[in-house]
Amino acid sequence: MIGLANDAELATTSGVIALVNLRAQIDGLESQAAAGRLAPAQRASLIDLLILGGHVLGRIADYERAAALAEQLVHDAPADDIAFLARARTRATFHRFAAALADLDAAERLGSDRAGLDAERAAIFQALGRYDDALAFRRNAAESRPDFATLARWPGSRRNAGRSPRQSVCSPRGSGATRMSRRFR
Amino acid sequence: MADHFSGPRAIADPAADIADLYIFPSPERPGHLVLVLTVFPAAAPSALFSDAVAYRFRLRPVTVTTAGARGVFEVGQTEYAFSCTFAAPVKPDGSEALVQAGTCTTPTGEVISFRVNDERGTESKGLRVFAGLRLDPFFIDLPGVLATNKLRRLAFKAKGDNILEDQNVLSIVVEAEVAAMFGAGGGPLFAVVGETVTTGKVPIRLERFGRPELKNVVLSPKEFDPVNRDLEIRDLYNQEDPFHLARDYVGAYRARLNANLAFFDGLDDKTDWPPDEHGNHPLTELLLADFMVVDVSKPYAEDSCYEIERALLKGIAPETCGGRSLNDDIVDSLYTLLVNAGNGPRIRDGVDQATQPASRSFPYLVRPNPNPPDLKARVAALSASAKGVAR
Repeated sequence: MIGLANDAELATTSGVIALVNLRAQIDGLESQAAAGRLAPAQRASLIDLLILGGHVLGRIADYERAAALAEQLVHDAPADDIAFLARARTRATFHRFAAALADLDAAERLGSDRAGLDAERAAIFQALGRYDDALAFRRNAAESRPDFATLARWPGSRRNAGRSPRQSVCSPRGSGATRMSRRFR
Repeated sequence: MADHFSGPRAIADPAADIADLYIFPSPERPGHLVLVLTVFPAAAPSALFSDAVAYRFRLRPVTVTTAGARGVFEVGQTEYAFSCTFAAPVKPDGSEALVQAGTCTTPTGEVISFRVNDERGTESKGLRVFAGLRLDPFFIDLPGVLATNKLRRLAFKAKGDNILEDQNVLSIVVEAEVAAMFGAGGGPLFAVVGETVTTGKVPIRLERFGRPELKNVVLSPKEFDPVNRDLEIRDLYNQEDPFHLARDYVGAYRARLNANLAFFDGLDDKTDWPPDEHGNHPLTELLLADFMVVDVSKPYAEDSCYEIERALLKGIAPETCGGRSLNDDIVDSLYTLLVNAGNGPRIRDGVDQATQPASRSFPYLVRPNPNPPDLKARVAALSASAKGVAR
């Protein structure tokens, strides 16, 4: 572990550069999308980047553009789980949580990776203040795909649920995750 | 791809993701050495360097010695480093366009200032520096590489698909006078690496680059590794000091190299690299010393990558400058070395040049494509095509 006196000792990229590079990525994908050259996965990437841009800049127009692209993607690729996953994210951004969970279920039926879906569901339940439910999904995600992203979210989720953040992911897989998502609807 | 997207951490920050490293005697000015580092694979026209990263070239003198039956490179302790850093961009008075400035600190401590995307570059005291967007000079038939891995036999076509066609990268070009740079500091052989390291009080190595395709082609496949079959090894490998591998993971790198090099050797159904009595592949230790070797006393050559290593393995004197030119077809050279050790015909991936060949005039890399295609879409399309081939 690296010991740091404070965060200022870590150099991080200027926000101006990060935003210029983000905008460049968005513009590049937008021009390809306008020419009809993007596969569903790249269209989903564009949607994610627009949501990110919206989060950073607080610009509703980015969210709305992402939502419109996601609706079109589901229309164009109704058999592709990526389309529903992308639309779920835009719906969750607009706090349409029940519709977002329905899209996640649709993505699961079309073969989406369960760990990724559980991480998305956990974020929704966390936003709703249902921390125990979020914790169950976080555990599922961390156990089935124990990578940096899933494990890093585990302590925070435990803390929100009033548990010790230090406990590792070691208990048996939770079994009520999907049931909880259905109960919510 | 040579080092593009070489691991999860590199993918997470394109501005610190090294795409390639090239070292070659200047074709334009004899007695000068050219160092090229490219970063930010598939860069958009407005891409910028990070202001939190130092982009470095490190050079050390090497000599060839004999250990056991084979020659090895012995790296000297003297180090010559060029470090380039960049500022946050600004909008000059009355302009809407962002301008990014940079500095290059030389081994002697001089600081050269330059402006990103200045076509003329900057020249000061015998040193020329250019930084900016350029057409990616690398070329590779990625579908052929993927199909070869899947089918476990060579699957290149006569005409391959260059995955990087029309793509841009951010590039740093430094051209320095050999006599002024090294003085009497050894040579003429030098080991060269490229690195991206965080600036600030805690320097963290994000990426390192020695030989092309060592990470993405040679180290990346997991399925042959008898020790770490589920380990994405490239992030660990990237954080190592190329001139001082830590003991902690060297066994993991060695196991991965031994397994994967044996896979490549078997692609033509014959063994050109018999392992030693401990199961070690003859190339493993050579490649673990992951740096490019250039002879600064020899003239520019177009296709000399791995020539010094091949000569070392054969116990003969190298004929060329080694290093790596911008037009070097390293994919063909690498597969030929790994698969038949040069004992058979040259293996070709069916792609013999970049979108446009590099020039012989500073800054050597070709001007960027103002409207590059989306690389992910191209990768997806070509991967689907490779899967079709592999079925």
